[in-house]
Amino acid sequence: MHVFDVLVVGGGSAGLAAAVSAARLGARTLLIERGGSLGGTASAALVHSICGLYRLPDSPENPPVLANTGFAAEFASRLTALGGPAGPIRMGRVDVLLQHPTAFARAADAVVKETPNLEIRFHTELLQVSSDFLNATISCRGRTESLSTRTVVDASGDAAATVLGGGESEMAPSERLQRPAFIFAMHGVEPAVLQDDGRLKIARRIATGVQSQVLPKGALGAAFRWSGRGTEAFVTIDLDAPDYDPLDAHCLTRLEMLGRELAGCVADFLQREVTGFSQSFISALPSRIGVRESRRIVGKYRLETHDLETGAQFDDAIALATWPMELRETNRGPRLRYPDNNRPCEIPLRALRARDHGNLFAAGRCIASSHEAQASTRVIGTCLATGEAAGMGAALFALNGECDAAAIRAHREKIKA
Amino acid sequence: MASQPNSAFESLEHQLVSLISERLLETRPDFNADSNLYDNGLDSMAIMQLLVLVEEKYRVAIPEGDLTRQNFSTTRHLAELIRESSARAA
Repeated sequence: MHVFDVLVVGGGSAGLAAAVSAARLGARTLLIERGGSLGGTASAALVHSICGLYRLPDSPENPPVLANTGFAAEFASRLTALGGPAGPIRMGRVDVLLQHPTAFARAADAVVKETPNLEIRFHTELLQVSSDFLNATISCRGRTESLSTRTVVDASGDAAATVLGGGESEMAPSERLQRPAFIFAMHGVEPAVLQDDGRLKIARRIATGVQSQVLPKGALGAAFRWSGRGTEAFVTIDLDAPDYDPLDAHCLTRLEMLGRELAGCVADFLQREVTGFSQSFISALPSRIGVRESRRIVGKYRLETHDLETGAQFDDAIALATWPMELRETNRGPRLRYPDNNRPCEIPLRALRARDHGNLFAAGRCIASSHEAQASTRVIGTCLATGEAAGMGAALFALNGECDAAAIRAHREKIKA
Repeated sequence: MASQPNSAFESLEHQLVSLISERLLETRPDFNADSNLYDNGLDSMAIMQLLVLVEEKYRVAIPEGDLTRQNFSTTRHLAELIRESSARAA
Protein backbone atom coordinates (compact mmCIF):
# COMPACT_ATOMS: atom_id res chain seq x y z
CA MET A 1 0.00 0.00 0.00
CA HIS A 2 1.23 3.46 -0.88
CA VAL A 3 1.95 5.74 2.05
CA PHE A 4 1.66 9.51 1.78
CA ASP A 5 1.78 12.43 4.16
CA VAL A 6 -0.68 14.59 2.24
CA LEU A 7 -3.46 13.58 -0.15
CA VAL A 8 -4.77 16.46 -2.24
CA VAL A 9 -8.13 15.81 -3.86
CA GLY A 10 -8.72 17.91 -6.97
CA GLY A 11 -6.20 19.55 -9.29
CA GLY A 12 -7.75 22.94 -9.88
CA SER A 13 -5.84 26.08 -9.00
CA ALA A 14 -6.28 25.41 -5.27
CA GLY A 15 -5.24 21.76 -5.46
CA LEU A 16 -2.25 22.60 -7.63
CA ALA A 17 -1.08 25.21 -5.14
CA ALA A 18 -1.73 22.89 -2.20
CA ALA A 19 0.12 19.92 -3.67
CA VAL A 20 3.18 21.88 -4.78
CA SER A 21 3.37 23.76 -1.48
CA ALA A 22 3.03 20.60 0.64
CA ALA A 23 5.65 18.72 -1.37
CA ARG A 24 8.08 21.63 -1.17
CA LEU A 25 7.97 21.35 2.62
CA GLY A 26 9.10 17.74 2.32
CA ALA A 27 5.75 16.00 2.67
CA ARG A 28 5.22 12.96 0.46
CA THR A 29 2.27 14.27 -1.52
CA LEU A 30 -0.26 12.72 -3.88
CA LEU A 31 -2.52 14.90 -6.04
CA ILE A 32 -5.46 13.25 -7.75
CA GLU A 33 -7.45 14.90 -10.53
CA ARG A 34 -10.52 13.62 -12.36
CA GLY A 35 -9.55 15.25 -15.68
CA GLY A 36 -6.47 15.08 -17.83
CA SER A 37 -4.92 18.41 -16.92
CA LEU A 38 -4.41 20.68 -13.94
CA GLY A 39 -6.10 24.03 -13.56
CA GLY A 40 -9.76 23.10 -13.08
CA THR A 41 -11.92 25.98 -14.24
CA ALA A 42 -8.79 27.81 -15.48
CA SER A 43 -8.11 25.06 -18.01
CA ALA A 44 -11.06 22.67 -18.34
CA ALA A 45 -13.78 25.36 -18.16
CA LEU A 46 -11.77 27.89 -20.23
CA VAL A 47 -11.86 30.63 -17.58
CA HIS A 48 -9.42 33.15 -19.02
CA SER A 49 -9.27 35.89 -16.42
CA ILE A 50 -7.60 35.47 -13.05
CA CYS A 51 -9.38 37.54 -10.45
CA GLY A 52 -8.32 38.14 -6.87
CA LEU A 53 -4.58 38.33 -7.59
CA TYR A 54 -4.40 42.05 -6.77
CA ARG A 55 -5.66 44.41 -4.13
CA LEU A 56 -8.47 46.77 -5.02
CA PRO A 57 -6.79 49.96 -6.22
CA ASP A 58 -7.39 52.98 -4.01
CA SER A 59 -7.31 55.35 -6.92
CA PRO A 60 -7.25 55.04 -10.72
CA GLU A 61 -3.62 56.20 -10.80
CA ASN A 62 -2.30 53.52 -8.44
CA PRO A 63 -0.56 50.57 -10.12
CA PRO A 64 -1.70 47.01 -9.36
CA VAL A 65 -0.44 45.56 -6.07
CA LEU A 66 -0.35 41.79 -5.51
CA ALA A 67 -2.78 40.64 -2.82
CA ASN A 68 -0.81 37.54 -1.87
CA THR A 69 2.88 36.84 -2.29
CA GLY A 70 4.04 33.23 -2.42
CA PHE A 71 2.64 30.70 -4.86
CA ALA A 72 -0.06 32.97 -6.31
CA ALA A 73 2.57 35.52 -7.30
CA GLU A 74 4.99 32.86 -8.48
CA PHE A 75 2.41 31.17 -10.68
CA ALA A 76 1.26 34.48 -12.16
CA SER A 77 4.88 35.12 -13.22
CA ARG A 78 5.09 31.67 -14.77
CA LEU A 79 1.92 32.33 -16.79
CA THR A 80 3.27 35.63 -18.01
CA ALA A 81 6.58 33.99 -18.96
CA LEU A 82 4.68 31.48 -21.14
CA GLY A 83 3.64 34.30 -23.42
CA GLY A 84 0.15 34.67 -22.13
CA PRO A 85 -0.70 37.92 -20.42
CA ALA A 86 1.54 40.93 -20.65
CA GLY A 87 0.40 41.94 -17.18
CA PRO A 88 -2.69 42.92 -15.27
CA ILE A 89 -5.31 45.15 -16.83
CA ARG A 90 -7.73 47.44 -15.02
CA MET A 91 -11.42 46.83 -15.57
CA GLY A 92 -13.37 49.54 -13.81
CA ARG A 93 -12.47 49.18 -10.14
CA VAL A 94 -10.54 45.91 -10.33
CA ASP A 95 -7.27 44.58 -11.71
CA VAL A 96 -7.41 41.28 -13.59
CA LEU A 97 -4.73 39.07 -15.12
CA LEU A 98 -5.92 37.77 -18.48
CA GLN A 99 -4.58 34.32 -19.21
CA HIS A 100 -4.92 31.53 -21.71
CA PRO A 101 -6.27 28.16 -20.47
CA THR A 102 -3.68 26.29 -22.53
CA ALA A 103 -0.91 28.29 -20.83
CA PHE A 104 -2.37 27.51 -17.42
CA ALA A 105 -2.34 23.76 -18.06
CA ARG A 106 1.22 23.88 -19.40
CA ALA A 107 2.52 26.08 -16.58
CA ALA A 108 0.92 23.71 -14.07
CA ASP A 109 2.62 20.70 -15.69
CA ALA A 110 5.95 22.51 -15.60
CA VAL A 111 5.75 23.39 -11.92
CA VAL A 112 4.68 19.93 -10.77
CA LYS A 113 7.40 18.27 -12.87
CA GLU A 114 10.09 20.19 -11.06
CA THR A 115 8.64 19.57 -7.59
CA PRO A 116 10.18 16.66 -5.64
CA ASN A 117 8.03 14.52 -3.31
CA LEU A 118 4.97 15.05 -5.51
CA GLU A 119 3.03 12.40 -7.41
CA ILE A 120 0.16 13.23 -9.73
CA ARG A 121 -2.60 10.90 -10.89
CA PHE A 122 -4.85 12.15 -13.65
CA HIS A 123 -8.11 10.42 -14.60
CA THR A 124 -8.43 9.50 -10.95
CA GLU A 125 -11.35 9.94 -8.57
CA LEU A 126 -11.54 9.53 -4.82
CA LEU A 127 -13.74 6.51 -4.22
CA GLN A 128 -13.64 6.19 -0.44
CA VAL A 129 -11.94 7.81 2.50
CA SER A 130 -12.06 6.60 6.09
CA SER A 131 -13.80 8.73 8.72
CA ASP A 132 -10.41 9.54 10.29
CA PHE A 133 -9.13 10.63 6.85
CA LEU A 134 -6.12 8.29 7.16
CA ASN A 135 -7.02 5.70 4.54
CA ALA A 136 -8.36 6.21 1.06
CA THR A 137 -9.28 4.31 -2.07
CA ILE A 138 -8.82 5.99 -5.41
CA SER A 139 -10.01 4.77 -8.77
CA CYS A 140 -8.97 5.10 -12.38
CA ARG A 141 -11.40 3.62 -14.90
CA GLY A 142 -12.50 0.83 -12.59
CA ARG A 143 -9.03 0.01 -11.30
CA THR A 144 -8.77 0.83 -7.61
CA GLU A 145 -5.79 1.61 -5.43
CA SER A 146 -5.63 1.85 -1.63
CA LEU A 147 -3.36 4.27 0.15
CA SER A 148 -2.71 5.71 3.55
CA THR A 149 -2.14 9.35 4.34
CA ARG A 150 -1.69 11.56 7.38
CA THR A 151 -3.71 14.50 6.11
CA VAL A 152 -6.20 15.28 3.38
CA VAL A 153 -6.63 18.57 1.51
CA ASP A 154 -10.11 18.82 0.03
CA ALA A 155 -9.62 20.90 -3.10
CA SER A 156 -12.46 19.20 -4.92
CA GLY A 157 -14.47 22.41 -5.18
CA ASP A 158 -17.52 20.50 -3.98
CA ALA A 159 -16.21 19.37 -0.56
CA ALA A 160 -16.44 15.88 -2.07
CA ALA A 161 -13.62 14.38 0.00
CA THR A 162 -15.09 15.83 3.19
CA VAL A 163 -18.51 14.36 2.48
CA LEU A 164 -17.12 10.94 1.49
CA GLY A 165 -15.37 10.73 4.87
CA GLY A 166 -18.51 11.72 6.75
CA GLY A 167 -17.40 15.30 7.43
CA GLU A 168 -19.87 18.16 7.64
CA SER A 169 -20.65 20.51 4.79
CA GLU A 170 -23.24 23.10 3.88
CA MET A 171 -24.67 24.51 0.68
CA ALA A 172 -26.88 27.46 -0.23
CA PRO A 173 -30.40 26.68 -1.49
CA SER A 174 -30.68 26.08 -5.22
CA GLU A 175 -32.19 29.45 -6.10
CA ARG A 176 -29.33 31.35 -4.43
CA LEU A 177 -26.39 29.37 -5.83
CA GLN A 178 -24.20 31.36 -8.18
CA ARG A 179 -25.13 30.39 -11.72
CA PRO A 180 -22.54 28.42 -13.71
CA ALA A 181 -20.63 29.80 -16.69
CA PHE A 182 -20.30 28.23 -20.11
CA ILE A 183 -17.20 29.44 -21.94
CA PHE A 184 -16.23 28.53 -25.49
CA ALA A 185 -13.66 29.74 -27.99
CA MET A 186 -14.22 30.99 -31.52
CA HIS A 187 -11.69 31.35 -34.29
CA GLY A 188 -11.72 33.66 -37.29
CA VAL A 189 -12.99 36.69 -35.36
CA GLU A 190 -11.54 39.99 -36.51
CA PRO A 191 -9.87 41.34 -33.35
CA ALA A 192 -10.90 44.92 -34.20
CA VAL A 193 -14.59 44.17 -33.60
CA LEU A 194 -13.80 43.18 -29.99
CA GLN A 195 -12.16 46.50 -29.10
CA ASP A 196 -13.73 49.38 -27.17
CA ASP A 197 -17.23 50.12 -28.44
CA GLY A 198 -17.12 47.08 -30.72
CA ARG A 199 -18.25 44.80 -27.93
CA LEU A 200 -21.21 47.09 -27.29
CA LYS A 201 -22.22 46.80 -30.94
CA ILE A 202 -22.11 43.02 -30.61
CA ALA A 203 -24.20 43.35 -27.45
CA ARG A 204 -26.73 45.38 -29.46
CA ARG A 205 -26.93 42.75 -32.18
CA ILE A 206 -27.41 39.92 -29.73
CA ALA A 207 -30.04 41.84 -27.79
CA THR A 208 -31.89 42.43 -31.07
CA GLY A 209 -31.53 38.77 -31.92
CA VAL A 210 -33.12 37.81 -28.61
CA GLN A 211 -35.86 40.44 -28.91
CA SER A 212 -36.78 39.17 -32.35
CA GLN A 213 -36.61 35.57 -31.12
CA VAL A 214 -33.93 34.63 -33.63
CA LEU A 215 -31.77 33.81 -30.62
CA PRO A 216 -32.91 32.00 -27.46
CA LYS A 217 -33.23 34.10 -24.30
CA GLY A 218 -30.29 32.26 -22.78
CA ALA A 219 -27.97 33.99 -25.25
CA LEU A 220 -28.61 37.35 -23.64
CA GLY A 221 -25.53 38.33 -21.72
CA ALA A 222 -23.00 36.55 -23.92
CA ALA A 223 -19.71 38.34 -23.26
CA PHE A 224 -16.79 38.49 -25.69
CA ARG A 225 -13.10 38.89 -25.17
CA TRP A 226 -10.16 38.60 -27.52
CA SER A 227 -8.00 35.72 -26.29
CA GLY A 228 -4.79 37.63 -27.05
CA ARG A 229 -3.92 35.17 -29.79
CA GLY A 230 -4.58 35.62 -33.52
CA THR A 231 -8.27 35.72 -34.36
CA GLU A 232 -9.38 33.78 -31.30
CA ALA A 233 -12.08 35.06 -28.96
CA PHE A 234 -13.65 33.66 -25.82
CA VAL A 235 -17.40 33.83 -25.34
CA THR A 236 -18.89 33.53 -21.85
CA ILE A 237 -22.54 32.79 -21.18
CA ASP A 238 -24.00 32.41 -17.70
CA LEU A 239 -26.46 29.54 -17.80
CA ASP A 240 -30.01 29.99 -16.63
CA ALA A 241 -30.57 26.96 -14.47
CA PRO A 242 -33.95 26.36 -12.86
CA ASP A 243 -33.74 23.75 -10.08
CA TYR A 244 -29.98 24.10 -10.30
CA ASP A 245 -28.06 21.41 -8.43
CA PRO A 246 -24.32 21.34 -9.16
CA LEU A 247 -24.07 17.93 -7.44
CA ASP A 248 -26.70 16.22 -9.56
CA ALA A 249 -25.61 14.38 -12.69
CA HIS A 250 -28.97 14.94 -14.39
CA CYS A 251 -28.72 18.67 -13.85
CA LEU A 252 -25.08 18.86 -14.92
CA THR A 253 -25.83 16.84 -18.04
CA ARG A 254 -28.70 19.12 -18.98
CA LEU A 255 -26.51 22.21 -18.50
CA GLU A 256 -23.56 20.86 -20.48
CA MET A 257 -25.90 20.23 -23.40
CA LEU A 258 -27.67 23.57 -22.97
CA GLY A 259 -24.31 25.36 -23.03
CA ARG A 260 -23.28 23.68 -26.26
CA GLU A 261 -26.65 24.38 -27.83
CA LEU A 262 -26.43 28.08 -26.92
CA ALA A 263 -22.86 28.23 -28.18
CA GLY A 264 -24.04 26.87 -31.52
CA CYS A 265 -26.92 29.36 -31.75
CA VAL A 266 -24.72 32.34 -30.87
CA ALA A 267 -21.88 31.30 -33.20
CA ASP A 268 -24.26 30.72 -36.15
CA PHE A 269 -25.97 34.05 -35.54
CA LEU A 270 -22.69 35.95 -35.38
CA GLN A 271 -21.28 34.24 -38.45
CA ARG A 272 -24.43 35.03 -40.41
CA GLU A 273 -25.26 38.52 -39.24
CA VAL A 274 -22.44 40.36 -37.53
CA THR A 275 -19.55 42.21 -39.12
CA GLY A 276 -16.18 40.73 -38.29
CA PHE A 277 -17.57 37.22 -37.72
CA SER A 278 -18.21 36.05 -41.29
CA GLN A 279 -15.20 33.70 -41.22
CA SER A 280 -15.67 32.62 -37.61
CA PHE A 281 -16.43 29.23 -36.11
CA ILE A 282 -16.42 27.49 -32.73
CA SER A 283 -12.89 26.23 -32.17
CA ALA A 284 -13.08 24.90 -28.62
CA LEU A 285 -15.78 23.81 -26.21
CA PRO A 286 -15.07 23.50 -22.49
CA SER A 287 -14.48 20.06 -20.96
CA ARG A 288 -17.08 21.07 -18.43
CA ILE A 289 -19.24 23.99 -17.34
CA GLY A 290 -17.71 26.43 -14.89
CA VAL A 291 -19.42 25.71 -11.58
CA ARG A 292 -19.00 28.71 -9.30
CA GLU A 293 -20.51 27.45 -6.08
CA SER A 294 -21.59 24.22 -4.46
CA ARG A 295 -20.81 22.68 -1.04
CA ARG A 296 -18.51 24.29 1.51
CA ILE A 297 -16.94 22.56 4.49
CA VAL A 298 -17.99 23.32 8.04
CA GLY A 299 -14.78 24.74 9.46
CA LYS A 300 -13.34 25.85 12.77
CA TYR A 301 -14.35 29.35 11.65
CA ARG A 302 -16.85 30.42 8.98
CA LEU A 303 -15.78 33.45 6.98
CA GLU A 304 -18.86 35.68 7.15
CA THR A 305 -20.35 38.24 4.80
CA HIS A 306 -19.69 40.93 7.38
CA ASP A 307 -15.98 39.98 7.43
CA LEU A 308 -15.75 40.63 3.71
CA GLU A 309 -17.73 43.85 3.92
CA THR A 310 -15.53 45.33 6.61
CA GLY A 311 -12.15 43.82 5.75
CA ALA A 312 -11.85 41.71 8.90
CA GLN A 313 -8.49 40.85 10.44
CA PHE A 314 -7.52 37.65 12.23
CA ASP A 315 -4.57 36.51 14.33
CA ASP A 316 -4.37 33.35 12.26
CA ALA A 317 -4.60 35.07 8.86
CA ILE A 318 -3.04 33.08 6.02
CA ALA A 319 -4.25 34.92 2.90
CA LEU A 320 -6.08 38.01 1.72
CA ALA A 321 -9.41 37.99 -0.09
CA THR A 322 -9.54 41.10 -2.27
CA TRP A 323 -12.12 40.38 -4.95
CA PRO A 324 -15.51 42.05 -4.41
CA MET A 325 -18.36 39.68 -3.62
CA GLU A 326 -19.43 38.83 -7.16
CA LEU A 327 -23.02 37.69 -6.95
CA ARG A 328 -24.42 35.82 -9.91
CA GLU A 329 -27.61 34.40 -8.47
CA THR A 330 -29.32 35.06 -11.80
CA ASN A 331 -27.91 34.86 -15.31
CA ARG A 332 -28.49 38.60 -15.78
CA GLY A 333 -24.89 39.53 -15.13
CA PRO A 334 -22.82 40.01 -11.99
CA ARG A 335 -23.65 42.21 -9.04
CA LEU A 336 -20.40 43.29 -7.43
CA ARG A 337 -20.47 44.16 -3.73
CA TYR A 338 -17.35 46.04 -2.66
CA PRO A 339 -15.94 46.21 0.88
CA ASP A 340 -15.81 49.41 2.90
CA ASN A 341 -12.87 51.53 1.71
CA ASN A 342 -11.73 48.70 -0.60
CA ARG A 343 -10.25 46.91 2.41
CA PRO A 344 -8.95 43.39 1.85
CA CYS A 345 -10.34 40.69 4.15
CA GLU A 346 -7.98 38.34 5.90
CA ILE A 347 -8.77 34.63 5.64
CA PRO A 348 -8.04 32.77 8.88
CA LEU A 349 -6.41 29.35 8.86
CA ARG A 350 -9.43 28.09 10.82
CA ALA A 351 -11.64 28.58 7.72
CA LEU A 352 -9.41 26.04 5.95
CA ARG A 353 -9.65 23.44 8.71
CA ALA A 354 -12.57 21.09 9.23
CA ARG A 355 -14.35 21.67 12.51
CA ASP A 356 -14.31 18.03 13.56
CA HIS A 357 -11.17 16.62 11.92
CA GLY A 358 -7.69 17.90 12.79
CA ASN A 359 -6.09 16.37 9.70
CA LEU A 360 -8.65 17.59 7.15
CA PHE A 361 -8.02 20.86 5.31
CA ALA A 362 -10.00 22.62 2.60
CA ALA A 363 -8.77 24.88 -0.17
CA GLY A 364 -10.34 26.90 -2.96
CA ARG A 365 -14.04 27.44 -3.33
CA CYS A 366 -15.10 24.97 -0.65
CA ILE A 367 -13.42 26.64 2.36
CA ALA A 368 -15.72 27.47 5.28
CA SER A 369 -17.57 30.64 4.35
CA SER A 370 -20.98 32.16 3.94
CA HIS A 371 -22.66 32.13 0.54
CA GLU A 372 -21.75 35.80 -0.07
CA ALA A 373 -18.20 35.50 1.29
CA GLN A 374 -17.66 32.56 -1.07
CA ALA A 375 -18.60 34.89 -3.95
CA SER A 376 -15.28 36.62 -3.21
CA THR A 377 -13.04 33.75 -2.08
CA ARG A 378 -13.95 31.42 -4.97
CA VAL A 379 -11.88 33.32 -7.58
CA ILE A 380 -8.70 31.77 -8.95
CA GLY A 381 -6.23 34.25 -7.43
CA THR A 382 -7.62 33.61 -3.96
CA CYS A 383 -7.83 29.85 -4.60
CA LEU A 384 -4.09 29.82 -5.36
CA ALA A 385 -3.48 31.48 -1.99
CA THR A 386 -5.82 29.32 0.11
CA GLY A 387 -4.48 26.27 -1.71
CA GLU A 388 -0.93 27.18 -0.80
CA ALA A 389 -1.87 27.74 2.84
CA ALA A 390 -3.86 24.50 3.07
CA GLY A 391 -1.01 22.54 1.50
CA MET A 392 1.55 24.02 3.86
CA GLY A 393 -0.76 23.53 6.82
CA ALA A 394 -1.39 19.89 5.89
CA ALA A 395 2.34 19.24 5.40
CA LEU A 396 3.26 20.83 8.73
CA PHE A 397 0.51 18.88 10.48
CA ALA A 398 1.62 15.63 8.85
CA LEU A 399 5.30 16.17 9.68
CA ASN A 400 5.04 17.84 13.12
CA GLY A 401 1.57 16.96 14.36
CA GLU A 402 0.64 20.62 14.48
CA CYS A 403 0.48 23.67 12.28
CA ASP A 404 -0.06 27.35 12.84
CA ALA A 405 -0.62 30.39 10.70
CA ALA A 406 2.64 32.07 11.69
CA ALA A 407 4.65 29.12 10.34
CA ILE A 408 2.66 29.18 7.10
CA ARG A 409 3.22 32.91 6.68
CA ALA A 410 6.95 32.45 7.34
CA HIS A 411 7.24 29.73 4.67
CA ARG A 412 5.33 31.87 2.16
CA GLU A 413 7.75 34.74 2.68
CA LYS A 414 10.57 32.53 1.40
CA ILE A 415 8.97 32.08 -2.03
CA LYS A 416 10.17 34.43 -4.73
CA ALA A 417 7.87 35.27 -7.58
CA MET B 1 -29.54 71.41 -18.48
CA ALA B 2 -28.76 70.45 -14.93
CA SER B 3 -29.46 74.02 -13.79
CA GLN B 4 -33.06 73.81 -15.06
CA PRO B 5 -34.52 70.66 -13.59
CA ASN B 6 -37.59 69.46 -15.40
CA SER B 7 -39.85 67.20 -13.37
CA ALA B 8 -40.60 64.80 -16.23
CA PHE B 9 -36.91 64.48 -17.02
CA GLU B 10 -35.99 64.00 -13.37
CA SER B 11 -38.51 61.24 -13.03
CA LEU B 12 -37.03 59.28 -15.94
CA GLU B 13 -33.63 59.50 -14.29
CA HIS B 14 -35.10 58.42 -10.96
CA GLN B 15 -36.87 55.50 -12.57
CA LEU B 16 -33.65 54.39 -14.23
CA VAL B 17 -31.68 54.71 -11.01
CA SER B 18 -34.21 52.42 -9.31
CA LEU B 19 -34.35 50.02 -12.23
CA ILE B 20 -30.58 49.67 -12.35
CA SER B 21 -30.23 49.27 -8.59
CA GLU B 22 -33.02 46.74 -8.29
CA ARG B 23 -32.64 44.68 -11.42
CA LEU B 24 -29.11 45.01 -12.63
CA LEU B 25 -26.23 46.19 -10.47
CA GLU B 26 -25.15 46.03 -6.85
CA THR B 27 -24.97 49.80 -6.61
CA ARG B 28 -23.19 51.78 -3.92
CA PRO B 29 -25.35 53.54 -1.31
CA ASP B 30 -24.70 56.98 -2.82
CA PHE B 31 -25.64 55.83 -6.33
CA ASN B 32 -27.38 58.55 -8.34
CA ALA B 33 -27.99 59.69 -11.91
CA ASP B 34 -24.43 60.97 -12.25
CA SER B 35 -22.64 57.95 -10.78
CA ASN B 36 -20.32 56.14 -13.14
CA LEU B 37 -22.09 52.93 -14.17
CA TYR B 38 -18.85 51.11 -15.00
CA ASP B 39 -17.60 51.81 -11.47
CA ASN B 40 -20.81 50.17 -10.28
CA GLY B 41 -20.10 47.02 -12.23
CA LEU B 42 -21.65 47.61 -15.65
CA ASP B 43 -19.94 45.41 -18.23
CA SER B 44 -20.83 44.40 -21.78
CA MET B 45 -22.90 41.53 -20.39
CA ALA B 46 -24.91 43.88 -18.19
CA ILE B 47 -25.31 46.44 -20.98
CA MET B 48 -27.16 43.83 -23.00
CA GLN B 49 -29.55 43.26 -20.12
CA LEU B 50 -29.94 46.99 -19.61
CA LEU B 51 -30.75 47.52 -23.28
CA VAL B 52 -33.50 44.93 -23.23
CA LEU B 53 -34.90 46.25 -19.94
CA VAL B 54 -35.14 49.90 -21.08
CA GLU B 55 -36.31 49.09 -24.58
CA GLU B 56 -39.16 47.00 -23.20
CA LYS B 57 -40.09 49.48 -20.51
CA TYR B 58 -39.91 52.68 -22.60
CA ARG B 59 -40.79 51.16 -25.98
CA VAL B 60 -37.78 52.61 -27.71
CA ALA B 61 -35.10 51.15 -29.94
CA ILE B 62 -31.58 52.36 -29.28
CA PRO B 63 -29.68 52.14 -32.55
CA GLU B 64 -26.32 50.47 -32.86
CA GLY B 65 -24.64 53.80 -33.64
CA ASP B 66 -25.60 55.14 -30.21
CA LEU B 67 -24.02 52.20 -28.41
CA THR B 68 -20.91 53.83 -27.01
CA ARG B 69 -19.25 53.53 -23.64
CA GLN B 70 -19.82 57.24 -23.16
CA ASN B 71 -23.61 56.96 -23.69
CA PHE B 72 -23.80 54.28 -21.00
CA SER B 73 -21.39 55.89 -18.56
CA THR B 74 -24.08 57.39 -16.30
CA THR B 75 -27.81 57.06 -15.80
CA ARG B 76 -28.20 60.68 -16.93
CA HIS B 77 -26.53 59.91 -20.26
CA LEU B 78 -28.73 56.87 -20.67
CA ALA B 79 -31.86 58.91 -19.94
CA GLU B 80 -30.81 61.38 -22.61
CA LEU B 81 -30.40 58.53 -25.06
CA ILE B 82 -33.87 57.24 -24.28
CA ARG B 83 -35.39 60.69 -24.75
CA GLU B 84 -33.68 61.08 -28.11
CA SER B 85 -34.79 57.66 -29.23
CA SER B 86 -38.39 58.23 -28.24
CA ALA B 87 -38.40 61.68 -29.88
CA ARG B 88 -37.18 60.06 -33.09
CA ALA B 89 -39.88 57.44 -32.89
CA ALA B 90 -42.57 60.14 -32.38
